[in-house]
Amino acid sequence: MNNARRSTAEIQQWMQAVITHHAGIEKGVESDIARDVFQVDPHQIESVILPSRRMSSIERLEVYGNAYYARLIHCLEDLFPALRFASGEEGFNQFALGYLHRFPPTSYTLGKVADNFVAFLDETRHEHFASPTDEASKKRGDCLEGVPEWTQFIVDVARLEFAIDEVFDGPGIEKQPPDLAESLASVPPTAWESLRLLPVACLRLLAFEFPVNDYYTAFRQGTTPTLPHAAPTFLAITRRDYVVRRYPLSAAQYALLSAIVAGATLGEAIVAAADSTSDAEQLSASLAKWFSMWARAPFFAAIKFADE
Amino acid sequence: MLQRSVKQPLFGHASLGYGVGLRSVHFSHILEHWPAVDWFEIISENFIDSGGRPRYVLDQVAERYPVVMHGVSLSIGSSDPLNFDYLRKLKQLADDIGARWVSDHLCWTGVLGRNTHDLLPIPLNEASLAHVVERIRVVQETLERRIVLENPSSYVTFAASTMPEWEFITHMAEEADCGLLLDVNNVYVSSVNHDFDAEQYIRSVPHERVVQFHLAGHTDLGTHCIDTHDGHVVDKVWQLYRLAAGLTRGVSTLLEWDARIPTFDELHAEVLKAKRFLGEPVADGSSAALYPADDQDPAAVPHPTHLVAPEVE
Repeated sequence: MNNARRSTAEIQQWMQAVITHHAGIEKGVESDIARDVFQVDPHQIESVILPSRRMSSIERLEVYGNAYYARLIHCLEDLFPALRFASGEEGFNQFALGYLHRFPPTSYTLGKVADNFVAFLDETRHEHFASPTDEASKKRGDCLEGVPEWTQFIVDVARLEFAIDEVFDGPGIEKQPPDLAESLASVPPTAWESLRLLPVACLRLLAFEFPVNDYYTAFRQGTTPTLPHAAPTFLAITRRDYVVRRYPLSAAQYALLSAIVAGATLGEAIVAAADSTSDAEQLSASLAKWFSMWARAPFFAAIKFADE
Repeated sequence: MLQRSVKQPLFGHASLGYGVGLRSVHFSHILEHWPAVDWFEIISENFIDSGGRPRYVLDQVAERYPVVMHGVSLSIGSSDPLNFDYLRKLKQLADDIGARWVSDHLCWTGVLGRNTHDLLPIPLNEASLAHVVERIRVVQETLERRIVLENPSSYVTFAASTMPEWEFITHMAEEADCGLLLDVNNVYVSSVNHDFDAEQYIRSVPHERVVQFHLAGHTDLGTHCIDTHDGHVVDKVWQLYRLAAGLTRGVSTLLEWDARIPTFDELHAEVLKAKRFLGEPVADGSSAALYPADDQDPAAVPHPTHLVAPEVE
């Protein structure tokens, strides 16, 4: 095609295909997606991109090609620092490249660059992270349904960090902090069973197969934690005074809060919690203390009585 | 020729003085000390969806300082349709914080629904000029204000271009009736990369439309320069700034520093060097300290974008 006839739209589509190609500029020029826009061989590229006195056209395009993945991987590193530590630089980069290839950014904001990251990691974990970072875990070689167990740990760390980021800059309650501690304490015993508690928008409940909250804490404290043994753990995340707060939960607490968030009455939620524990008596004795603590956290935005 | 006083350039925007970019690493320092900086510029996309601490900090800052919004996703040169959801959010934030003006870049960031999160150059010809001018008009109608566009730093030029960037920008600003953000460092970086005369560029743009200057550090790799925003402003850029400031008779000046970000005090001191180049008195009475090009970093990335790291207990 004559250069003068190439429209801005065609040049942009071609350039985007070339500079975002995972195998580099020359492969990008030869790719089907670029050649579908217009066909130009790498040695003819000067018909599109001019050389400078010191750089060839390919070298000039490489500035953009190198920056594309470097910039986006850097963003993912910022969002998932503990995951990067856990998986090692090489493993993290491999996974990030695969992710960005499958899910190139489409939003005006980098804040959404990782929206599909955890799901992609979960679906493809058997293809990535050929080895964990510490020798002890390599030797253990635990497997879960044919996939090395530690890859679930990687997914758990990613889920935790993604949830923290969501809560940090998502909707919160700072402008109108709920104060339900006294209200809850004054609910008549006859009304407890049928009331519902509405969660704050920044509440997240997470169940993990590995103790990733402890791992995350150790990482943030500057230590070098090793891959922990699998152990079911539960966590609530909320935000107060614009700082993300983490609350480790027991299985019964997680079951109780999950039912509440799903819209169950308090009576229904307590039954669900009782099903998750062998010590129903202890559960019953702890409820008042738990709800007082969760109201202050805060986990709840409002109380809804049966007749409302 | 338009006659304007030094403090009253284009569009009634008085010179805001010497400002710095609002970056999350300085949030706590700013809230604690309320430093005597003239004004702040924000990266619009870091705040338009924020429901957390970034927006809280911005609201506090906007109550005390003039704030200008600087975007990176308008993609005014793209062949994709404009994103009106994005424009609506941009307008809302500008109204909420009383932004003095809203700026972005003469570039495209992606096509076919993608966003490379890079500021990519467009071919500079009559067709692309008409395309950009029309889109600026639509954006200005949507935002109900004139916008301000910045000359990008760039690393390629196109065989399809038929005019130099300063000529394109001049036509663009006059036909679309928009303002210009003259990034002096970008002029220098592009002049090295594209073998043109930086002084000619600065002498040729319509000075009465320049609303703001950007200053920043860059990385010189020998064969080309990269706009890294990661260090001091080098002396060649200061000299261009002195020329540009004289031609425009003084407009708001902003320092960008986005990687290896120093303390707030060092950041502020860097932009205040501009006063020395304009012959204005400075508090410490010291002479201008000039910097040669910074150390070379082969892994340098153009104008690094950044996220706000979560604060978590």
